[in-house]
Amino acid sequence: MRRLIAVAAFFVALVSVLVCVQTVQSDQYNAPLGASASFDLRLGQSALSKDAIVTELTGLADEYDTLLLKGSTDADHHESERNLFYFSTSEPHVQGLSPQVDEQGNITWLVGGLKGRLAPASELGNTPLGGIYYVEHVSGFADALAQWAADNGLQVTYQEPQGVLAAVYETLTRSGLSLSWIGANLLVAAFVLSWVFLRHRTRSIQLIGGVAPHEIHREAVVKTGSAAAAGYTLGALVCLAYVWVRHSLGDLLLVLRGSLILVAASFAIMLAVALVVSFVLAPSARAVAFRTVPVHGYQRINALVRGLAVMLAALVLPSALTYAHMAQRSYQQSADMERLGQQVSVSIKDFTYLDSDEGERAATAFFADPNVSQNMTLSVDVGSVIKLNPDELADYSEIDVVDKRYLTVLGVDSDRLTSVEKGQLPEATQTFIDEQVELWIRPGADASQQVRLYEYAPTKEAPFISLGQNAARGGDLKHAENPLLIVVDDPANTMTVSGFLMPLMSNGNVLFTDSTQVEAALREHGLYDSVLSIDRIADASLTTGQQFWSQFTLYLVAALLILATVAVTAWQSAEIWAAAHRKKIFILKTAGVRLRSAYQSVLTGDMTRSAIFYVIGAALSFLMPQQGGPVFIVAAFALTVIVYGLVATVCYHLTTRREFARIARRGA
Amino acid sequence: MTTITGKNLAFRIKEHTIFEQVSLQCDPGTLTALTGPSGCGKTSLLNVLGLLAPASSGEVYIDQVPTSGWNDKQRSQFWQQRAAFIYQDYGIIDDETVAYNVTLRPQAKTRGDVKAVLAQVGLQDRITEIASVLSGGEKQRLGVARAIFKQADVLFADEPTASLDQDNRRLIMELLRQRADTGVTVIISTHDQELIDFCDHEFPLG
Repeated sequence: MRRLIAVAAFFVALVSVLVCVQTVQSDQYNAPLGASASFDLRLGQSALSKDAIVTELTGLADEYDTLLLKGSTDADHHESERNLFYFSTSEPHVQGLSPQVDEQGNITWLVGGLKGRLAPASELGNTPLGGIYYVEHVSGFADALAQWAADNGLQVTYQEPQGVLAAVYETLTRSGLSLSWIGANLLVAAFVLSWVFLRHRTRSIQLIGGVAPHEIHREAVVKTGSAAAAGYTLGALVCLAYVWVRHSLGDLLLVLRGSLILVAASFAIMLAVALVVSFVLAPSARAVAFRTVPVHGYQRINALVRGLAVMLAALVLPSALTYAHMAQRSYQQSADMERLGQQVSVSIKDFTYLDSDEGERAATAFFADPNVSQNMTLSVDVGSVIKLNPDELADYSEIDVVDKRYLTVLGVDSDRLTSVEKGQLPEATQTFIDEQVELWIRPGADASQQVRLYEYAPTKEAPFISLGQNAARGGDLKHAENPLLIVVDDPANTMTVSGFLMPLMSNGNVLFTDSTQVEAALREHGLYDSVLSIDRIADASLTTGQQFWSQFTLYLVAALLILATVAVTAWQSAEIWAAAHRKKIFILKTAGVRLRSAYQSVLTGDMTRSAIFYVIGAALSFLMPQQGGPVFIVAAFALTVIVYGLVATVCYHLTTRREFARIARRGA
Repeated sequence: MTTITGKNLAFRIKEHTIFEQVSLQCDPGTLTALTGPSGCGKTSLLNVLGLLAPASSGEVYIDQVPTSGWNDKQRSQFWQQRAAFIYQDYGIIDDETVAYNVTLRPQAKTRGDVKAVLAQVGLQDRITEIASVLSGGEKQRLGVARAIFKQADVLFADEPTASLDQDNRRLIMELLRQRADTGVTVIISTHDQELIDFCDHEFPLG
C-alpha cells in the first residue's frame, strides 16, 4: 500500500508541474511582464490618428509610471510569433519577469516554439490599435484612461485585477489538468485511508502493547509521509527535468517556484489527511479483545472519499466525453472536407477596422476584385445561423445558400438539380426566403435575376455537404438528405459585405480556391492586418480536432485518476465489510449459502449512495466553464456506476473468499 | 508488584450471561490459571481483569484501587506501563519484522535488549525476518518475547500453549515461571491440563 501511495504522489507531482506550466503560459498571454489588469480599446468613429493614439497612450503610461503593453500576431506567423509593444518613453524593466526577454528585446514564450519581440509602440506598423491592452494596475490610471477615451470618441472596457478567490477558482476549473490535480490528491487520500485500515489490527496491538497513542499517530504520518515524499520528489524531478530539456533553464526557473508550492501544498494536505484519519480511526482495545474491526469510522470516511470522487467524476467525465466526441467529429469532418480540395478559409482576428466606414469600403473593394470574386465559393446551412420553424422548412431537410462554384467544387451534377419556382413553395417558406434575401442582398441588386431555387437529391456517390456556422472551427458539417438550395449567381457583387460576406468569410462559409490570390488581394486592399490566418478548410477542421483532442487528453488523465479513486473506495468498502463479517461469511459458506446474498444489499446501498453523489456533482458541473450536454452527463453517470459496480462486485467476491479461507485455516 | 482482584464480577453480552458472581485475587509472583469448559468465559474474564473489556457488574481492583471509573487515558497508562498480553492468536503482525513485533516500534532490530529477549525464546537468528515466515510455535514464542521485553508487573496470557508441540509448551511454561519468579503476576486462561497443573492456583469457571 505504501508503494501505491508513492505512485499516486508521483502523479500528483507530475500534474502539479504541468498545472504550473499551463498557468504560466496563460499568465504570459493574459498578464505579460507583470501586468495585472487589461482593457479593451474600441476605436469606433474616433477622429484621432493612429500616431496620436500611440502618443497619448504613451503619455498616460508615463504620467502614471505604469506598464502598458499591446500584444500582436500576424497572419504569416500566428503560430510561431507573438510580439509585445510597450507604451512608454523608456523601455520597461523586464529582468526576472515572465515571459523572458533578453537584452536584444527577443521574447521567449513558454509555449513551445513561440518567439517574439518587445518593441516600442512606435514600431507597431500596421498592427491594429483596437483590441486588448495589458497594464500594471495603478491607482488613478483607469479613471484617466476612461476620461481620455470619452474625450476622444473611443470606447474602453477596463478589467480590474482578479481577486485571489476568483483566480483560484479559474485555475481549478480552467482545464482538465487542474481537475487532474484534485483527482490525484484524492487518490493519495484514498490510499492513505486504505493503509490505516489495513493497519488497524497492528495499531490496536501497539496500543495494548504499551505504545502511546501519539507514537502510533506519529508512525502513521511518518510511514505514509515518507512513501509519499519519495513519490512527490521523483515526480517533480522527472517533470521539471522535462521542462528544462524541452524548453530552457530560464523557463524551468519560471515554473519552479509555483511547482514546488503546489507539490508542497499537496504534501501538507496528505500529511494532514494522514494525521486526521489516524486520529479519527484511533486503535481500540475492544477490537483486539473481541477480535472485531471498528467499522463505522472506516465506513464513514470511505463513504466521504467515495462521495467526493463520484462528484468529481460528474464534473470531469462529461467534459472528457464531450471533447472526445468533438474531436472525433472534427476529424470526421476533416475527412469530409477533403472533398472541398484546396479551398481555404480566412479567419478575422479583429473586426475593429472592418466595422469602420473606411474598412467597409475596403472590404467591398476586396470582394469586387476579380481575383476574389472569381476565386470564391459560398455555402451556408441557413438553419445553423437562423432558427427555422417546421413550416418554413416544409418538407426539406435544410435550406442552404450556395453559389454555382461551390456546386462545381462539390461535384454536383447540374442534371440532378431540379429548378423550383418560389410560388410552388409553401407560403411560410416563400415568406422566409423573401425576408432573408432582402436582408442579404445589396441595395439595387435584383434578387429575381441573381437568386434561383433548386432541389437536389443526393446519393452516396454524390452527397451534398453543407457547411454550418463556424465550419472553419469545428462547426457543423452536414450530409444534407433533401436540401432546398438558394443558388446565388455572383455573391461577391450581390450580397452585402458587412452583414453577410465578411462574417461568413470569418466563419468559414465563404471559401477561396486560390490562397495566393486571396492573400494578395487582402494585402492590396489593406485588410491583411485584420486577418488571423488563412487555412485550408480541411486543415482548419483537423487543427480544431487536434485542439479538442488535446483537451480530451487532459480530461482523460483527470478521469482516469478519479475513476481509480472510485475503484479504490469500492475495494475499501469490500475489505471493511469482509473484515466486519468474518464469522457470518464462514457460517454462510459452510452452510452452503451463496455469499453474494450476504453482501448484495450492502453493495446496492453503496451504489445508490454513489448515484446520489453523482447527481449532486452533475448539478455542480453547471458552475464549470466546460460541461457536457445531457447525453454526456448520462453516459458519464453510467460509466461511473458501471466502474464502481464492477470493481465492488469483484472485490466483494474476492475478499469474502479470502476471509473464508483465512478463517478456515485458523478455525472459526 | 501488582495484585489484581476481582469482586462479584459479571459479564453479559446482550441478554446472555457469560459469567457472574466471580471473585478472585491474583498475587504477585504467582501463576493463576483460569479454567473451565469451552464457552464458560475464560477469555472474557481475562479481558475484564486486563481492562480490555468492561465488566457488566462488579469491580476490578489494581492494587486495591477500583478501576470501574477509569477513563481511556488511565486504562492506556495501565497497558503501557504495567501490563503485558499474550494473545491466543499470537497477536503477531505478519508484515513486520520479528524485531518490530517485540518492541512494536520502528528501528528495533539493532537494539541489544531486543536481541537478548529473542535469545531467551530461541529466535535471536530471526531478528530481521518478516514474521509471516515463522511457524505457529515460533509466533507464540515471539508473543512471549514481546511480553518479556515489556518488563510489565502483570502478564495476561490467553491459551499460551494452544496448538504447540511438547517442547514449545515446556519452553513457554518455563518462561512464564521465570516471569513469576521475578514478582510478576501471571494470569493464564487455559484448558491445557499440564499447564494448569504447572500453575500455583486454579480458578475454575462454569
